[in-house]
Amino acid sequence: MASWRSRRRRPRPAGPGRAPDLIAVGAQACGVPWWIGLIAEHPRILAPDDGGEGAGFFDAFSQREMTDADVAAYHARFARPDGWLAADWGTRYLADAWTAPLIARAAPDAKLLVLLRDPVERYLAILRQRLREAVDPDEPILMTDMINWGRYATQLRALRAFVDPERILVLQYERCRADVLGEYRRTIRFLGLPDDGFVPRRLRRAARGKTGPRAYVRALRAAGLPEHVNRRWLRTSVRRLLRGRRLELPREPWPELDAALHAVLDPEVEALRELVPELDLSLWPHFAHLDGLKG
Amino acid sequence: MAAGRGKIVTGPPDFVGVGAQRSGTTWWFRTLLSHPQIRPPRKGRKELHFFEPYGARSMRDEDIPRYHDLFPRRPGQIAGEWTPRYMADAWTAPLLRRAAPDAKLLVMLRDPIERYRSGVVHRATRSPEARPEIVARDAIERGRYTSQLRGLLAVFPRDRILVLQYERCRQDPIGQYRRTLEFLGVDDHVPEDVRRLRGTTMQSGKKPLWPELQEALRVTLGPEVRALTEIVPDLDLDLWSNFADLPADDGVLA
Repeated sequence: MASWRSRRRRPRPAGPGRAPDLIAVGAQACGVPWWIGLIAEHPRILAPDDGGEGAGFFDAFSQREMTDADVAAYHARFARPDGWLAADWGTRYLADAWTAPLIARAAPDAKLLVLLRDPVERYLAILRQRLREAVDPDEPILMTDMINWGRYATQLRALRAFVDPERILVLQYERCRADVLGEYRRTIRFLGLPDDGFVPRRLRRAARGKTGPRAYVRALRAAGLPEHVNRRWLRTSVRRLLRGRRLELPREPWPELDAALHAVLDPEVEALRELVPELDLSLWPHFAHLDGLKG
Repeated sequence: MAAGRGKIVTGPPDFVGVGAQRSGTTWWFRTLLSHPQIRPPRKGRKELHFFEPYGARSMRDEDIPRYHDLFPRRPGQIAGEWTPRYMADAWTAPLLRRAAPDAKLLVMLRDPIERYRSGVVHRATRSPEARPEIVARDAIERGRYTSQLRGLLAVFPRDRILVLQYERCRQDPIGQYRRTLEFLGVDDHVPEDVRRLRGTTMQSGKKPLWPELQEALRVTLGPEVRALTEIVPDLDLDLWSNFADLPADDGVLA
């Protein structure tokens, strides 16, 4: 079975344009492209035709009103014959307050997918990425947006003001990593597709019972290789070496940042537990302290 | 306390304005500077943006004297700055507490939807290369006053934070100015001119909001405004036309 990107390059099946059946709305840096990639391998699902970047279709409507012609153009992106499902994704949709009513208008029957990650881990991951990518090491890196994007409860509540909560599936990124097959099947069932045993190519190893890192990786970890060292880390480290710049990339927030993050995000996570009762805080170590507080 | 003569000294600021952007803070700061006892930072700047980098790295002890050195004043005077983004940058409050533990904080709030409209135009004018959706996103988030104030209240006692309402300051500038002076602990004073210094770039640029956007902003910011009335009991919602008819239960704020 070809990857979802190679399927994207094949001629798309013809058919009338209509609203997508699934829209993954966020959050950013929570594995949405990965998950959409898995979903798009399903033989009944049309891969997004967006270059793998997420269409961001609704971005423009922070500046102008969405017209009926815009809605028609949106639908035209998802031309397909009967029996096919189409997916759209935009990791900023959840955080962009103007998007929810537009989705409700442009895709009133679509099911929405939300992937959430420990918001402190998310903040640190983006911080490390920005530190790696910074051209001028003395240029301040502003992180206000990354705190605000962690306001999951505020965003989800605003989304639910326009979209029936029954049509929103909230997944935890960490649970998807730990039980990728289980959560994949859960997603397929949520979409109304029969769970007929189809397994995406990338998950077939897991389906054969081969879960977790490959043997050589396990051996390296047992020998003392830190968890964060992976192929991506090696690539960026080599680049940094060639640039002659040594970076200190934080793995944990320093005390004042930790206090500030929790001042903002603890109430959000507490509220999120009310909205998403199956939220498992043991998967979010930075918020495990809230577990004992729930009445 | 009367403005004195004597040697100029530096030290932590006596007051710090921490927000909000596009809420009349420049007007108010300049009005405060008309008081003989109130001094701006070096070079007469209003905004220092000193704590911006510390969302990406920790503030070291040696950074603090650099901050203190920015506030010269003579005996009998107080010095301060006003950087509107401090309140929006969640990491700033604990750092401010560390660098200026005795400072009094000033907050000027405006109808968050009007603030959004002004903020979008302001940012688009100053940074035309910025992506519009990023500008809009930032402009919305800066209107989350309650969440931001809670961050301040986590490290500063309530009686050291003065929250002003921009619309009330426009209605009663002398009264609110004297209220500010009393809070700062300086002598009473009547300024020569409190007429609003209007920016020229923003006034004609603000666009009316279409219904879907208006509704989305009310949905996301309504809970913030409702909760704000508990932290700022004297907040007059009648002055915020976009929220004057806020229902009693407009969603629960996280």
